Formats: sequence, C-alpha cells, structure tokens
Amino acid sequence: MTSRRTPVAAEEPPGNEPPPGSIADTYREVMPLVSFDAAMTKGDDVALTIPLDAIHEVLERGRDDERLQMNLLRNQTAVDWEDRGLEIVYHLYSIPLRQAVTIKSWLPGEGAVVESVADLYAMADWAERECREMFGIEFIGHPDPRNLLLDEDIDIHPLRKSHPLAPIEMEQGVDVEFFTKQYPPPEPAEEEAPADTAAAAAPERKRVEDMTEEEREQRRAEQAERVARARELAAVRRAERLAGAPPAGGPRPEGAAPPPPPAAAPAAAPAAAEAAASSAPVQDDRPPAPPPPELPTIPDAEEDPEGRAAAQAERVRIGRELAAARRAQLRGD
Amino acid sequence: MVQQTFEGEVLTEPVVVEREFETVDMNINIGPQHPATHGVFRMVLTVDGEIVKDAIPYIGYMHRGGEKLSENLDYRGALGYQDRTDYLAAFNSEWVYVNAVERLAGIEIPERAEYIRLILAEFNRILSHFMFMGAFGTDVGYFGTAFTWTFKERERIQDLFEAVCGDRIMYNYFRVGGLAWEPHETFIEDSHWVLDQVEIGIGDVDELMTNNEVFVARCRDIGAMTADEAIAYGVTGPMLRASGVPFDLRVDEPYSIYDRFHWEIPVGERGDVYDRYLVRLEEMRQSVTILRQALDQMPTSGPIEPERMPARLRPEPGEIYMRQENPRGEYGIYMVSDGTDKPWRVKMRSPCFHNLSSLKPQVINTYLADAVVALGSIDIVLCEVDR
Repeated sequence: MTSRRTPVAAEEPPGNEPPPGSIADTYREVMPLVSFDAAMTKGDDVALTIPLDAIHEVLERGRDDERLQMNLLRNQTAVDWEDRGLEIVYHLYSIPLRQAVTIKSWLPGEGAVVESVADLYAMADWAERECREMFGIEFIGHPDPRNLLLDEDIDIHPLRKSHPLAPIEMEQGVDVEFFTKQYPPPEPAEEEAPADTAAAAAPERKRVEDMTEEEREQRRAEQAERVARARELAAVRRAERLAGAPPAGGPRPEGAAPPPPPAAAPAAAPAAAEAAASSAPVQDDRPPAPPPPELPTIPDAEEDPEGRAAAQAERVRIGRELAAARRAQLRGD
Repeated sequence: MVQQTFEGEVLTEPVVVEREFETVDMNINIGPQHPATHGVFRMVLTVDGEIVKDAIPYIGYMHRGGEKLSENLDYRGALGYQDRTDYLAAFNSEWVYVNAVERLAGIEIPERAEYIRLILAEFNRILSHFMFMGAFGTDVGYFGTAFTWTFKERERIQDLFEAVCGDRIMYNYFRVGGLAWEPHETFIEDSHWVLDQVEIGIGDVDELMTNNEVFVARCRDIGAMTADEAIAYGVTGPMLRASGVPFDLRVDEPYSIYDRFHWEIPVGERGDVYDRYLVRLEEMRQSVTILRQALDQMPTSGPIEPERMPARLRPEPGEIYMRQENPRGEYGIYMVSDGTDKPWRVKMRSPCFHNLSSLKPQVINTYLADAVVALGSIDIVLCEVDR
C-alpha cells in the first residue's frame, strides 16, 4: 500500500474540507495507511480521492468493516479530464448506517488499468462493462469484458472528450466552433450539393471557421476583387445597351470594346456577381425605359375643384400616351 | 419402501428402473422484437427441456448517447432528454435533473413550485405503476383485461397532465428554478377528483389480480432474491423493498419536502415476483396518501419561479450526485461542472439498468415460462436502461 499522492490530485484546488467527525475520519481510522483527500461535493457528500492501486482494498474493507458497512455500490462511472487524465468515481451507500460516500481516483488518460470490483459488488459487472466501452478503461479481473451498450465489434470510446459528435449534431448545435477547434471538420460531401456545381468543383473549400487570419484577409481581398470585376462587367454591358448594341448572343460590333469573358471570373465567384452577369443579357432584350414625364400635382378638392379635375385629366392623358408608346415599342415599330 | 395393507399383509418394495435420458441443451433467442420483453431487449436462454440453464441478456438497442448529448448542450437545453430516458416516469426524471442543476448552481426554488413538482411526480409514480400492472398482468395471463382496466385509470391522470402542461408523455414542464408556467386554475380540484377515481381503480386492480389463484400460482416464489443478493446487484426501488429492505430515498436521504408527509414504506418478505407486485400495489395507495396531504398543504398562490434567474447558467466548478426515488428505483444524475455553461459530465444512473442486471440469477434453474414472468416483474423501460 503506497501513500503517494498523484501529482494530478495535488494540482487540484483544495475543496472545502468536510467537518470533523464525518465519514472521512472513519475511513482514515479504518485504513490509516491509505491517503484520503477529502472534499465536500455540492450535494453535501464526502468525496475521498485515493491512490489508484488502493481502490479494491478501500472498497472491500469499506464493505466489510463494522463502522462503514458500504453494502450498496449505487453508481460507478468515470470522467474524462483530457490533459489531466481520467477520474474514476464510485458512489457508495450504507443502507444500515444511512451514510453515503464518493470514492474517486485518478487514472492516466491512455492505457488506464483499474482493478475490477465485480467480485465485491455484482452490480459492478455491468457498470464496469459500460465504463470500459465508453472510456476505454481496462478492468483487471472482470469476468466478462464485452461491450454492453455498443455493438460488440465497435472499438470506440464515445464518452471520451476526444470523440466527436456526429456531423448532424454539429450542424444542429449552436456552438460549432467548439468542435471544429479540436477535431478535423467533416469532408464536404459532394452529393450533398449537386445543384451547386461551381461550388462542388472548387478544390478544397475551407470553412471560414477554420481559416487563419491571413487566409481570411486573403479571402476578403478575393471577394472584393470579384465584386469589382462584376461591377466592371455590368458597367460595360450597360454602356453597350445605351449605345444600341445588339443583345448578347448576337454578333458583337467590331469597334465595341469586348467585355471581359465570363470564364475569366473564378469558378467559385460569389452568387451576387454571377447573378449580375447572368441577368445582364436578359435585360438587353428590353429597350431602356424613357425618363418618367413630370406629372401635374393634384390640388385639394375644396380649394380648387376645377384645377383638380384638369390635373386628373392631364395625368390620364400622359398615362395613355406612355402606354401607347410602350405598346408600339413591344410591337417592334 | 414398505407398504402394509389393512389386513397386515406386507407388500414388497416396488422395483424402480432408473435410466438417464440424454438431453441436449438448446439456445433460445428471445427478442429484441418480442412482446414479452417490454421493448427492445434480447436474451439468449440456454434451456434443458423446460429448465433455463443460462441466460445472456443483450441491451443497447436503444442507446442514443444521451449523456454525450447532454454534455454538449447547456444546462437547460438537455432537460428534454430526461423525458426520453424514463418515458413512463418523465416527471420524476426531469425532477432529478433540475434538482441536480439547482443544487449545483445554488438556486432556491419557491415553495409552491416544489409542491407542484412533488404532486406531479407522485401522480407519475401511480401512472407508472398502473402501466406495470397492465403489462405484468398481460405477462401472466390477463390478456386485455388488466391492460384496459389500468389504461382507463392512466387516461384520467394523463388528462390531468395534459391540462397542466399540454402533453401526455413527454412533458418537459419543469424548469431550472421552477416550472414552465402556472398549472391551470382548477388544478387542485381536478387532482382531487382524479385521486378519487384512481383510488377506486387501484381497488379494482387489487380485486382483479391479488387473490386470483392462477395469478398467485404464477407469481409465488418465482425469481426470489434475498436482500443481500439484491443489494449486491445494485437493485433499488420496489424490487429491493420486496426483498425486505426498507430502503426508500424519500425517507433514507430525504429530499425536497417529503419530510412533511406521513406515509409508510411497504416491504415484502420473500423477495419474489408476487411480493414485487404487492409492494407496487401498496406504493400506489401510499402515493395517494402523500398526494392528499400535499394537495391540502399546497399554497394556493405564490410564485413558481425565482425572481431573478441568470440568463446563462454557469455554475462554479464542482460535482453533485443527485438521486431520487423513481417508480423503478434510485434515479441518479452525476453532474460535474467546469465553470462553463455546459456540464462537463452528465451520468444518468438508471435504476432499470441495475435491476435488469439481476435477471440472470433470477431465471437460472426456473422454467422458461417463469423467466418471462420474472422479466416482467422488473418493470423495465428500455429507453432508460440504454439511455
């Protein structure tokens, strides 16, 4: 029986000590050679942190001793503290004496090995099987170390913090950055976006969340460049329209300055620029609308009823003229 | 063996020819889709004729990783998963969860909210035990009758729940700090009416099943467990009390306001299936007793949530193992906070998980038909076993 304190436990902030006469003192009386780091939990239980190699003995003597009689192992689990390793937790209760205690111990993160207590408490059989598959802790002396809740062939440890959630939960969860910081993001599935061929063909689109500051700067510059190019293109198209050039698709006059070809734009151009580029030929079919004529204002009926009727008649006449002109345009006169 | 006739003539011992029949053990797979397994539970029984020699239970078909999901949601967001663990006692499971968060964050809840929680949880205990009566009655031969009679009573309680929170199964009504909203105006009157009806219903079930000769014959001395055996397997709840251990967290580790009421803990003697049934039946009556006291004591007006609640819960680093008495046993939430707005670790200690692990010693060396009865007496909810 060693009485060493694990270095991890020493780094722990000192919890509030249990009051004198608590069950921690009873444990120290019964097992004076074991070091117990006692602390109170938020649920007013006494939590004792013990060395890893003392688990079996502490639980066995706690069960058999007259002063403790911890006959019910009510819960057994582990906590993954990442860099600090794993923490294995036993919640014990004494039905005759009505006292509860939590026994904890620190384990290394990888290759954790604990002595099984299934020979003391039959309940630990399933609890340790679950703990083994969920955290990857090996229990020495366990009678039946198979997977319990997971498939028997699966060798993953889902409750370790290094195990990512499934992508669907990542999308549904609010805090996506929390996961993408630690784990590689899922590869963008090509069949997910068949319609957006330009985006699918783009090589290795990186998520904005994963980019470094330099890459984000570069991305902003690229976007600005694309927008500028799209505006330039739109200006050229507008000039062609005003000059009476034939609509796009027809032969382009020799003298007119050819616009930059659309292929010059990067494949993954922003949607706005593409929309501007693609909608421009449609607008070419229609002649530019004439500037709206000045309409007479309608005076108030009580002040000037005659002027009001005249103004209304004038507005109707202008409207009819405009409509006639428009009809003539559409007919191709 | 010597037999003597009335005339004093002595008959010689009859000749008995003993001959051993060679039998071959056979593996029988039951489940996971089987009505007798009460959900997606599978067991492979090795039988020698009609006698079960070995049993290998398989669980995990309903494993959804609720603990992992809860660790990646904030403290309030994971409450909905509690309805989906023990769906027959959703109020009780929710209560454990919100109590754990409240104790961890140091939140005091108003008295009236505590009363309403307790009333709903005790109603849910009756609801869950009615479900047991129906399903278990079907297991032992009351095809239909037990189910329809108990579901009639369940409907009344579920109507009450629907009036309170708008849902019949997945309530999601408790909140960290109190309740989602006020129960409807006639909550207390409705509760009294439902209690009157339910008490009659309990009597009906009692008359239907308790003294029935076939029922007793199918249940007596089946799946008996001693107290030490049950404790070693971590069995809690009515199953443990049927084995003669008066262990009830409402009394042994009193939480909430259970110390204000007077009631008794029913305890069995033999630890067999019949005692489990009797303990559950008596527990329903005791729940009615608790409910009547609680409805009389409950303040008729007052707040149901604290005046000020933080928008985002960030409990100080610490841990808690909150445990309460659910209809099936000790339901526990082990929650570890690291100071952020998400729990670092959430472990659900489900009573059925450990109660079910004691199935193997119960069914070995019994008849195959009795194994199904023993399984039914555990009152398993597979969603809670697998989490």
